[in-house]
Amino acid sequence: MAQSATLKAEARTKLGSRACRALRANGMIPANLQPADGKEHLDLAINEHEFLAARRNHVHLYDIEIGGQSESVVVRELEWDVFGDSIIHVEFKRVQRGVETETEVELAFVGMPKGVVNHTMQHISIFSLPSMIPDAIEVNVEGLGEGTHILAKDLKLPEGVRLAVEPDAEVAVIAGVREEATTEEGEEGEEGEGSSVEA
Amino acid sequence: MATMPKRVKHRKVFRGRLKGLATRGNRVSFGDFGLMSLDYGWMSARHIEAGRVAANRATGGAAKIWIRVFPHKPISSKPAETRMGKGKGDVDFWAAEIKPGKILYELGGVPEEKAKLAFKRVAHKMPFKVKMVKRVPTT
Repeated sequence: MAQSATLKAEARTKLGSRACRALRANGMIPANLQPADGKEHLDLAINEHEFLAARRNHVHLYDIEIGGQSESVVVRELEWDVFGDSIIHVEFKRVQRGVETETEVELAFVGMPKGVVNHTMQHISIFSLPSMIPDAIEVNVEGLGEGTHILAKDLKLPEGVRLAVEPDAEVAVIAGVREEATTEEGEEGEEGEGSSVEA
Repeated sequence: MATMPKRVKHRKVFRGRLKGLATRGNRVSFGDFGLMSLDYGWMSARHIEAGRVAANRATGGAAKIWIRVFPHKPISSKPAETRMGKGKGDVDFWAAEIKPGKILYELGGVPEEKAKLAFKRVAHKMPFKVKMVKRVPTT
């Protein structure tokens, strides 16, 4: 696993959706750098090919070169297009190489339990050195029975990583399959006074 | 059984026009895998039910199925061989308005191969093109 990758960035002067769309058409991804330690917010654009190549190499710490200066950053949030095919925006967080930072890491559920995993958390906050951020934290659910609660303190964390959430926070629960659950959005918008209609 | 709202504010509505992409309900949120629409269309309560039954049979009842759409829209039609006029027709069926990117169903508790098979069966019941998707990483 590579420790860090260097990304060449350009400052964005033109902002807005139209300018961002033009950037994406030229193989760039609009990004921004959060303010920290007295340094100001920065709008920038990074090369999509370089960024995706670094992600494929499991890199989580980036050195962004902009205007002759270099800044160490980690990804704070990715924005995907509607179909989940391409990254349309990246939000970076400034970090210091030797100082622990708080980041969110995906949870990877491994194995088949005797029921269905109800994910209470999809990702978890951790403290670690920027160079030691894991790709994901594995949650082994193999053979777990119905009603089993998996708590944050049950997770096997890699070396140099500690939890940033309460140890008793629920990560997942194993539920039984009885009947299909129905969830939908926007129902409240349809409710109101009025007569019922039969089809 | 096909679903429909318990009560509505207006008995009949205009047909409307579908444009743009799904900005809500476009991420796999509950299960491990989802079925995403790639086109515009009305998904009737019968389509929704047919898809649910197909997924349930394909997984042998072992999976948990989340239905992410609901048929809120009443669709009216006039009887056959009726002269024009005399008001709007009766409600024929209920439909969900679907835009590209909308997650229609989610599956949990089954391996990927089984989910793929189940969604393939469901895809045959859908009135538009669909694809299977997984969760996308946020960091």
